[in-house]
Amino acid sequence: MSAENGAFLDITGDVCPMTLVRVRMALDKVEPGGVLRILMASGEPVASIPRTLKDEGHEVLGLDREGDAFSVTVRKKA
Amino acid sequence: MSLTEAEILRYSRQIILPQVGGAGQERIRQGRVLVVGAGGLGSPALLYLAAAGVGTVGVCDGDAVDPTNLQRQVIHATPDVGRLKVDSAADALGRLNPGVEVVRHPVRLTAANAPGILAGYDVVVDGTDTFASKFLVNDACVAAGVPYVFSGILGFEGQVLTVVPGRGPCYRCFFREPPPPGSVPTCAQAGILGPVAGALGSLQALEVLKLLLGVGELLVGRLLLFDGLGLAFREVRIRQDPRCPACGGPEHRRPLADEADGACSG
Repeated sequence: MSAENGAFLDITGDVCPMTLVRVRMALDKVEPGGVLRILMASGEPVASIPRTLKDEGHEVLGLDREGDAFSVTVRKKA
Repeated sequence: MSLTEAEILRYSRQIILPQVGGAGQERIRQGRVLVVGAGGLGSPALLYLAAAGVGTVGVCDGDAVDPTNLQRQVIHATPDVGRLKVDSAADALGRLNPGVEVVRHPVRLTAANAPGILAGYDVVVDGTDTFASKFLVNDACVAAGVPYVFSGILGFEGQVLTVVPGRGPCYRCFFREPPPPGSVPTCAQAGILGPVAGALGSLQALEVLKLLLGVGELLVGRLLLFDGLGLAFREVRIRQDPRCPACGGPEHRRPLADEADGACSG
């Protein structure tokens, strides 16, 4: 976790729906407009979590491959 | 105190809802809810509130479990016959969710004891079964400024109304007085099918959780009518009465008192 990237959450060890539960819990602790970086497995999580976040009005700033996983950066809606 | 890992897992299916989340679950855990009457309505309400993780659940009932209760009062079981309902309910809730603190009030709610029993609760569920008790729960909650969820059931039908003092009408705004003895249902009409109580008690628990979470549209000013035979809901808009003896202006208010109970209290 680095200060400029804001909060960090690793859900590579979780499966649906706990993946989204972890994201909810982590987003609760982020200020509106703040940034959360989420490391998630490829496949179902990366296919569904960013879409859910967008549907709920958050902004997905980036989606980057990190080895076998993906790093998703999200800005919490204000 | 933030949620433990065990709590996050246990409540994951509701934390996942955007209207709940971790912050909402903490509000549910901080909630203190009193259920008056551990009967047909109170059974599902108590079970769902404890299952949802409401931190403190109070049970107020002076009766013991009777064999005729078991057909609809699903929090009690056959071995509980003869036990105080508050004890039977507390045991069931403890098995369901040991994380919930259950407070027992093994008395019938009266005008004299109501203010003391209500003190410290955030929300009340009316699970009583007589007109006198329903007016008392209403008047005591309005006087204490505590929101409560009314329900009444008979046969295949039921009603639900959420009363938030200062934000809408109360039960007495609409049903001014208990019906005169003789006009009330007789014992022959005291029949009730269990799932009707289950449906309406569950709706009461839903309203309580919405109140604790601060989400959704409450049944404030809307009396929900349930017809189990036709399986239909409809609602009646009701207005706050400025001359209501419970929630009206100071010159109209009456002190808290017990109503005479002419009805059969099935």
